[in-house]
This record gives sequence, C-alpha cells and structure tokens, in this order.
Amino acid sequence: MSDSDPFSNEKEPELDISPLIDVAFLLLIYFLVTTTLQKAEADLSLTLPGVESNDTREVKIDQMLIQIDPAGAVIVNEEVSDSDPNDRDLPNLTDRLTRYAASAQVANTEPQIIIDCADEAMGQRFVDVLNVCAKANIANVSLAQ
Amino acid sequence: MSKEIDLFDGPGLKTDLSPMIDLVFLLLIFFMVTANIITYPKDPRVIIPVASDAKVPELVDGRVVINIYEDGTIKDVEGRVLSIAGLTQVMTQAKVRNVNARLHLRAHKDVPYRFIREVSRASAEGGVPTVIFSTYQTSKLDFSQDSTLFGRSPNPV
Repeated sequence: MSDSDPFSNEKEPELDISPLIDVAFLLLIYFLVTTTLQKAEADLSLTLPGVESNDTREVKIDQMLIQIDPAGAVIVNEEVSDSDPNDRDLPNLTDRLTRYAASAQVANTEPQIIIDCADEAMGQRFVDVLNVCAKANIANVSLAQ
Repeated sequence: MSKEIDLFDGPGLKTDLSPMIDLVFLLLIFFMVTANIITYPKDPRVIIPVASDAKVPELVDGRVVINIYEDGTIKDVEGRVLSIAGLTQVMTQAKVRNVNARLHLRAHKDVPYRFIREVSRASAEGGVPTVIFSTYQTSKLDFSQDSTLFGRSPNPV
C-alpha cells in the first residue's frame, strides 16, 4: 500500500539568500565609496554691538580690553599676558579671565570683553582669544572699532 | 590491493554564508550610523582655525555661509566672489528672508584679521549682528585637504 502523503518524498524547502547578499554588498560598496572622512565643524558665536535690546534691566558692566598685536602677543589692560604666538591655550589669559568672570559674578556685574586685534594678526590668534572667552563662560564679547 | 579514496567524494560541498551576511550587515549598519548629512557645502581650501571650546551645532537654520580664503577673497557657498558692499547687500536680503539670519564665517586660519573685521562689519551693517566663527574642535588630524577615507592620508597639523 502506497503512502498517501504527497509531500513525504520532497526535500526540505530552502531559502536562496544569494540575492540578499548581493544587495547587502552593493549597499556596502556604495557607502564605502561615497564616504568622505571630514571633521565636524564647531561654532564660536559673537554678537556685535549696536543692536537694540528689549531687556530693560539695569546692568553694571565691568569691561576688560584684550589687545592682539601683529605678532600674536596678547595684551590685557596694556600688560602682556601671553607672548608666545604658537601657544593656542593662552594659559595666563585663561587664568585671568576665569578669575575676572568669578569676581564679576560676586560683584553682580556683567563681564564684558573688548577685543582689539591688529589688522595683520592671524585669524587663528583671534579665534584663540574668543575660545578662551568661551572657556571662561563670558558671552559678552565685542570688537574694537 | 589498496583502494583509492576520493576525499571530495560525497554530497556537494556547501559554504555556510550566514557569518558573511552578519559581517556585511554589521559593516552596513556602521556606515549608515556614522554617515553625517552634509548640511552646507564646506570648501576644503578654507582651513578653519582650531578652538577646543567650540560647540558642534545641531541646527544650521538661517545661516549665511561666507568663506574667506587665505588671500582675503570673500566668496559665498556658491563660489561667487563678493565685495564688501555686495556682502552687505547679501546680508540685508538674508535678514528680509529670515529674521533669525546669522553670518556663518568660514575664515582661513592664516587670513589677516582685517578681512574678518570687514566682513563682520558688513554683516552688522546689513542688519545681521550675530557672527558664528567656524572652527575645528581638535587639531590632531587635519582632514581639510580634501582627504577621503580611501584617498590621501590625513595630514597631521
């Protein structure tokens, strides 16, 4: 007597995954070829003065003048702070601005930095000083005319 | 009398492809996750300064990107050379289109400061006083020379 089950002699079904691998490889090659390794760019903000503000609070402002000479030396209140143009960290200025920000907070005044940069100074040096201001959490920075 | 043994005799050899698929999918997911969407064109000829305390932005809405090259040439993202007067006009138009317009300044690290000052002033005259300086957070590797993953090797600064 023969077996009545029609599927008894068939092989176990298999899924052909080759097209799946093809697609995955194509996608992988696409990403490998189109990927460009690029460093992310970050922001340092500066709001120039001369804008009318709606804020009517009376704020006492404590100013500090930072000058950058053509060689890249940083001068604070007419006293040389950091003279090495290759030192981007500006340790003396960082220390000074941190103390300045802390004392302004104690005295309940708004710290304000005015940067007077020489025309021939490099852009990197100007950004170094802006960076130290950001490190000391001083947002009120303006440029000398 | 010895009998020859065929080592490859028997059912057809099969390769197990599952680990390969796993690997391919892992690589695929890695590239998909690490891919950054380019939000604005970045001219690799402008090598921007380094500032360790700068913040990577999440939104770039309302930014007017201006490049200042090493020789002081000022160009917009489409590569059009701008004069100071032309830049003031561009910023005025940007302010009309978007009240939150900001100047996104990509200045070369070695450009003399006077160009930065002139561009910032022109922006303020055009009604856009907020200037955002584009910087790198680290100087360890400089990929700004148009280097690609499988192209030129990165140049240490």
